[in-house]
Amino acid sequence: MKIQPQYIGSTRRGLGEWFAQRVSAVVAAAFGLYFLVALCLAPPTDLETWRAWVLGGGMRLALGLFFAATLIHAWIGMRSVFLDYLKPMSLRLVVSTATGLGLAVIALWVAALLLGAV
Amino acid sequence: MSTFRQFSIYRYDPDAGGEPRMQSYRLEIPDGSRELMLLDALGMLKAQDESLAFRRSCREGVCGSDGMNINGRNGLACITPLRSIKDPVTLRPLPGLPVIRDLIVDMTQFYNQYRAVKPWLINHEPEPEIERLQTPAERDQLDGLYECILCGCCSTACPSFWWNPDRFLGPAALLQSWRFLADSRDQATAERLDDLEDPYRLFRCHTIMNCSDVCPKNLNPTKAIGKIKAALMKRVG
Amino acid sequence: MLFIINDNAGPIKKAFKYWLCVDILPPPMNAAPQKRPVYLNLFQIRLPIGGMVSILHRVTGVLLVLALPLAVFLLQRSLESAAGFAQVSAWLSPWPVRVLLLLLALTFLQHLYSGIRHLLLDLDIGVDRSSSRNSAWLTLVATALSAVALGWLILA
Ligand code: HEM
Ligand code: SF4
Ligand code: SF4
Ligand code: FES
Repeated sequence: MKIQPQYIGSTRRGLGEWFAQRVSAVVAAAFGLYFLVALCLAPPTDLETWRAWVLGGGMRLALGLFFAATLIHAWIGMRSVFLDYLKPMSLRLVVSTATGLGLAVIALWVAALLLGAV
Repeated sequence: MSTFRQFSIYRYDPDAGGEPRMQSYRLEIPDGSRELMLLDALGMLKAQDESLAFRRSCREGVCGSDGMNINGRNGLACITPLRSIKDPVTLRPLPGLPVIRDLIVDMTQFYNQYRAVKPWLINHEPEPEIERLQTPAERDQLDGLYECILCGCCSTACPSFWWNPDRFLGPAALLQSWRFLADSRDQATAERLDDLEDPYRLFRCHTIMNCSDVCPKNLNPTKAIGKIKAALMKRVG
Repeated sequence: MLFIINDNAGPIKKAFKYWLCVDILPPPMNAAPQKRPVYLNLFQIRLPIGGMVSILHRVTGVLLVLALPLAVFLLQRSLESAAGFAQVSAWLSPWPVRVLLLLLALTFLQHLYSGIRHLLLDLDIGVDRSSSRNSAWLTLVATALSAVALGWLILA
């Protein structure tokens, strides 16, 4: 199948993704740094304290925000990489579908985890 | 007494066909010669081997015709002192453009990108008797933009240009786009921004800054691209 | 197959195009294809330091995406039960695994540092030749220092 797209008129698109990439980066940076430093300074020693920390109210919310931001960031970022390097449209279709599905599974998984399915 | 410099130069002859190859040259530089630019050395090599092809015209960094890849880095031969480059002086054509012969590349792609940004003043008002006036402050906005000589050193150093030359405009054209967006006399701001706003033409730029790193006129396409993005942001609020 | 998309294409068509990453292809500007050689040897072109850091940023970004499922898996396992927690602790204790963990943390930190540099450049901070070269070096130095600090923390 040869997919040959044709585009007419301004798409007004690109800026939104670009901006979302920056905002999500700030969220990921703030939380990621906090999480890494906290883990290094006080590595969890038993399940109780670990659960109390990670699943505490504020932390649960923060983790949710972090994963939401990171997944959006990852999707835009990977799309950007595909746009640069993958020229055949059918290849791009397969690879971006696989990536999108993978990220969607991760999103559901994280949601289940944080909403207390475990 | 004299010194010798070693050169290794990319050779391709379309009539002979075959693959491009590197050819070594040795150049004798008599002591007491004046400070030589790389272009002078190329001229001396051409006297040895007249089949060697390269473009040049002004020999002082204003025409933009002798852009080439010098020891891996794009620059203008005419304003690159021979002393500043190490032996063997390795010369290749500008990266990413079709080679016509030796160091001469086909710039059609590059000029198409330039053309795509409508590099002329668009003003719908009737032409005034004498000229369209600008305040000195408005004129200052064009500094660092109008000096571009379209040598192509920046665009052909840009990875985004290498991968998507047919859709990404490249730093040189984007700098010119900003040159007209920034012009107080231009009235096509909205249309120009519309034309730029898709994921390819402008947004394939990843702020790599290779362009600003190599520009022989010390211009800064990355900064211009940032200003375009800021203008796009501003119009959505 | 030829899709035409314009400003009033329907939402389904738009979504499909978006998915393909093709909704947005402007018409190509290229000249007719030519049978001419092109010089584009990445080992012979000398990339400025900013270019190198930019490639690193891209590589670490993709690696982080690949590591994401692993991170979620470990998080979930360690939270689900005492046995799960013990299992994750056991997995993460041999030194070769700790080296991998260290590399993952450094991947994150490298992407973080060059990402912050990117964000500053986007805010028009440090967008000139010498500052951008310096800041590119700075991200590398910061990554190296982090390697020492984290290496000491994680491996000791
Ligand atoms: C820690 C804070 C982070 C910051 C400050 C950050 C920053 C950035 C920025 C500014 C970009 C845009 C680069 C460009 O336009 O070329 C980017 C790209 C990217 N990021 Fe992040 N990021 C962070 C975390 C992450 C994480 C956790 C992941 C993975 C899950 C990730 C994956 C990516 C990918 C795949 C790209 C695309 C690479 C490219 O286009 O070259 N980032 N990042
Ligand atoms: S911006 Fe600089 S490098 Fe680019 S074409 Fe103009 S003068 Fe040449
Ligand atoms: S800053 Fe943009 S235009 Fe300049 S080299 Fe980088 S990607 Fe290309
Ligand atoms: S010969 Fe004119 S710019 Fe070098």
